[in-house]
Amino acid sequence: MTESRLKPAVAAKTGPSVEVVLKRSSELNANGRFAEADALVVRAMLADPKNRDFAVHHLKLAQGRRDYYEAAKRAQLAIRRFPKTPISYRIGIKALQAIGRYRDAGKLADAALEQFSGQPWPLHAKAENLAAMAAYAEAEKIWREVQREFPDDFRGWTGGAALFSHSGRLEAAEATLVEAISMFAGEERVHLDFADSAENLRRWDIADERWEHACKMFPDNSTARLRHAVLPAQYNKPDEAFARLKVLHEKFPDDIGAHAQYIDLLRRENRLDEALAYAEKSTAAFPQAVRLALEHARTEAERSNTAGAIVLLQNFLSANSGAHEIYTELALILSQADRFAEAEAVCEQALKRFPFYANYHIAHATLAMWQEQWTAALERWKHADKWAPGTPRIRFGIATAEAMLADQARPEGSAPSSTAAPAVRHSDALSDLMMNFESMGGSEGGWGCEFGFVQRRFGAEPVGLMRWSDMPADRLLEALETRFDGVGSPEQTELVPPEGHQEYFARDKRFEIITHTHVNSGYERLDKVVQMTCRRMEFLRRKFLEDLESSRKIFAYKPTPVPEMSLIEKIFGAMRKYGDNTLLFVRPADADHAAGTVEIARPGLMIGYIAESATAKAITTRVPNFSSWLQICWGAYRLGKSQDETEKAQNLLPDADAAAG
Amino acid sequence: MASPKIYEELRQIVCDVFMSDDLALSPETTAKDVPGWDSFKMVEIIVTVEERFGVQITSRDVDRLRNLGDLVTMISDKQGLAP
Repeated sequence: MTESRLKPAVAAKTGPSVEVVLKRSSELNANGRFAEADALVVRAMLADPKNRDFAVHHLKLAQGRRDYYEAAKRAQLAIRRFPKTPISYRIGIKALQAIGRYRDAGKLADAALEQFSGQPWPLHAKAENLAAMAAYAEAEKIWREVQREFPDDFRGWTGGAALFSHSGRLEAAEATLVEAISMFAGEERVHLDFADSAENLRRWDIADERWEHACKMFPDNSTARLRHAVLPAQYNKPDEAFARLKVLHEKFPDDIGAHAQYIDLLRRENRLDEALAYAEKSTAAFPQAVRLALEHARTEAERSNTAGAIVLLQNFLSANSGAHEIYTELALILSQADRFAEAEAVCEQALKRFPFYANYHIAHATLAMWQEQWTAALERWKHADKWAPGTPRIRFGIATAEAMLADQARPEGSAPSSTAAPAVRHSDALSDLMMNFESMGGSEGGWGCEFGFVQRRFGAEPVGLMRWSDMPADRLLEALETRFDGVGSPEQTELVPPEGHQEYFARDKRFEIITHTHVNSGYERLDKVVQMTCRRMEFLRRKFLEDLESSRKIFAYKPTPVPEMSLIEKIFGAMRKYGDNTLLFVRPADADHAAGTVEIARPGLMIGYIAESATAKAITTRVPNFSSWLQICWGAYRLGKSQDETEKAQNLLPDADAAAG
Repeated sequence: MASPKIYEELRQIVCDVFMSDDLALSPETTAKDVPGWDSFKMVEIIVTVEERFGVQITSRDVDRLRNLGDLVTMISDKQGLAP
């Protein structure tokens, strides 16, 4: 229902015209004056109960403020009174999904199917709902039905492809879109998805061609031209991306997205002075652009001018208090500067104004986590869960806070101290998260087991060559370059007698890998120990190479002492020869990098900044800083999984909007 | 159970690795059900399985394993026996 279809005739009875009521209530709603907005529309509804536009607007007000509980209720009400209004069903289905009531959303989609038989959209809604419930096979059946029953509806194909893509079947998505492009050659959406599919498959040349083609066919489509422009940055040709963006700036000087992307790319290339100059220039030209204000502040923050970044955002917020994206960014930068009280105040201000925004609840909980206030964090995460139930970020937050509270309840010093120690407590969410990582062990300084303990602590017990091992960083490079040649062979393996400790260690003579045997001094059949160690190492070597070749995992590496970045780059380069591997290099947090943050140094290479154990006791008993590791693992997992390169380069503050619909 | 014979042999391997004959095992047993079943023990079990059954277990295979029954099915599949 568009506003142009509204009937001003009813104004005679209600006082103000329909347009005035709708406009005024929308303004009030946008300014957080929800009760006044509702009252205005309710009065109009009472005065003119047969006007369905008021009922729909009443529903839209709740949706607009993201109060999906209320929107779901109002949708029911609107449908009861005006059952032939499709928008009420659509909003109702989305609202129910946002609050995790997928079964009810499915029922509403079925009701829509009955009411609007012969139309494809209820089938779309049903299929999307099934996909959200991970009922992929059933969703696929529905999309096939759409394709069969509505052969002129391209969404049958784009929807089907989106389902395949969502469930990790990228080749099936590609095949569906190949079919779609031959049937709907003039359809913009199909071309965009077609190009996106090649990008998902990391077939850069093909993606480049498809985006270029989409740009030619739909020159006004800003998404196509921007995606085409920045694509080369994904395959390590940033100069080409800069050149393409410059062309865009000349052709479309008002394209805010292109300016923001340029700043972002300059920052990613560590050209911070240029990024700042460009940000200053573009924010002066577009002072109201939220996206540019954010990029400007991020650039200042990255140049270590956090105070400047904070002032920029505060000023922007004073002039544009409805710019909700600014709040989370401001809270993030404040907390990076250890100004937690102010960060809390910003979150509270945001929540007061936009109480239904899941993002603010998540940011609020994240702040508590960063301050290690686990009780408050748990309470806040649970509150966030109300507004975006089932969001992985929230599940993780709840599990982390619960785990940390359980840790605090344990007697001091009872943390795992040997490789045989059991996991204390875990949840499936954390265990699943940890299984995405493969340990690369440690280096000369020892304690390569640290990450192994972290995985175990959270219920993950993967099998890995380096999980309980140390080796010098330069040897790791050599081992990677030679496919760990000879590891596990008897000639290359020796036992290191216990000295100052009870356990025999095994040593690979060529690469100087030191690993546990779990055999203590006094055991006499050392030949058997060597034999078993060789069998184990040989199997683990094979497995490690398979993991490198399949590129399924994120390889976590925390060498001590911290080597030169050039060596890390070489190690990363050697890993990349096996496949599209991701290396998470973990180093101590410093003044410029807050603990728990993860940044992308280049595609596939992440740097995580960890807070070392704070207490002397924890250091001497070698207790990992679990909470810091968790934050890093979660950040790396999100960055690694995300398809959105822009999001990748930004921050750890979560975004639940997508999940919240 | 896909193959009682394979299961019985596997049960014996697990008991040998843990040096205990009175482990309460079943096809549904997971590593978390057996105290001390960590990644070291897991590797020991896998390499013994590879030797004893003449099969090769890949990294993906290991990640897919949830319980003893899965391992029996995997061995059976790899040996070309009907599950």
